[in-house]
Amino acid sequence: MEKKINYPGITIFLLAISILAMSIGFAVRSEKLRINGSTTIGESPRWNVHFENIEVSQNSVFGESVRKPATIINNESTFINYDVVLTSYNDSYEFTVDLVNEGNINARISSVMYTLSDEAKKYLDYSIEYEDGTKVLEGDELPKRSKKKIKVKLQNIFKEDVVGEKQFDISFALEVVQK
Amino acid sequence: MKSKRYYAQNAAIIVLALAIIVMSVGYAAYSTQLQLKGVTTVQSSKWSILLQNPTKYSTTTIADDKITKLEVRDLAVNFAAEMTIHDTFSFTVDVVNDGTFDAKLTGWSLTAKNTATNEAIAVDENKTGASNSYLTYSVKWLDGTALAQNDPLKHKVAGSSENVKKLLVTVQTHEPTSVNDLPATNQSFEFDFQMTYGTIF
Repeated sequence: MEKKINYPGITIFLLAISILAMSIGFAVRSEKLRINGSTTIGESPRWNVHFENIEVSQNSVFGESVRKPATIINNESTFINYDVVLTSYNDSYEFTVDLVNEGNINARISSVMYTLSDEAKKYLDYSIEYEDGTKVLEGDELPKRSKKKIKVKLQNIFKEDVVGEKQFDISFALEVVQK
Repeated sequence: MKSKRYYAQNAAIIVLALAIIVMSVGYAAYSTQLQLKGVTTVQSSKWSILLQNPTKYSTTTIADDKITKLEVRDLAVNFAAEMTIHDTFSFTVDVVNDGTFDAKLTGWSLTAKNTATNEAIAVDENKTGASNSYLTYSVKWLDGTALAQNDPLKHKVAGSSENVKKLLVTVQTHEPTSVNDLPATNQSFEFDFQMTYGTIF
């Protein structure tokens, strides 16, 4: 009896093997590359110079002589206001305040300005100096994250009797910039 | 007694046979064997796509000691850098087809996040850039073109550089629109960019 060979069966089997081989060949030809990293962003530059912690000395006039005590009056804490009456010779009003550099940028005082009219100078002595008695000067440094205590003093130096009331507006400004 | 016809037939057969033999011999005498001889080498096929040569790029503004890592390990380039606002760190890396099959870029992905909070950084549509209010990360080809599906990478051929393409990775910090968005403390961010190369028969 003639043996019949199943050609369609063999053909399908061979095709299946070919497809399988081709698939395996395709699967291995794929590559994944990677770029992986980390970045640390350091603290950003912060500028923050302001006044803090006003303390009025015990030698100062008080009571009715102080119409408005020395007070930091704005949100940025860069402005101090006060209103005092110095009636007699040697009456004084003195307070200390911290000049604070809370930022991370070194600073320096670029200018020291105050207005004291010639007439006011007849009646008042006005001084601004550091706690150790040295004057506040242009160029003084205020390193980052540091503070210096400043002493402000007004004193009546007029020995004669004053007729009426003499009112003097005194303003003092420190300009602090990046070093 | 055999007939004349018998002998005639046999003679014819013998003659024919002799003729064939003669013809064969004659044919054999007029034949020349021709040969073609040569040497062919078939190389074993190889599939190899890899990253090489990560190098600080000229647009970098940070000092070298702030680049704490830039290296290749296996199929990955790893980097680490310390930056502040207004800094740029960029580097190139060679994508190399070191095999015998032409390849093409079949896909890529990018993830970026704040390391401490795990907060994800927004990734762009093309998945080659990520940014927040003060940090930008981007990946493109060094010639300025964007990555594209099926970007080719030819197999290695002596005397040709078509099997190498340079990738440019850039990390940049800048001032945000609002000063409140500036980092008040050190912030660390992780980036993970993956590319897939493939080929077809």
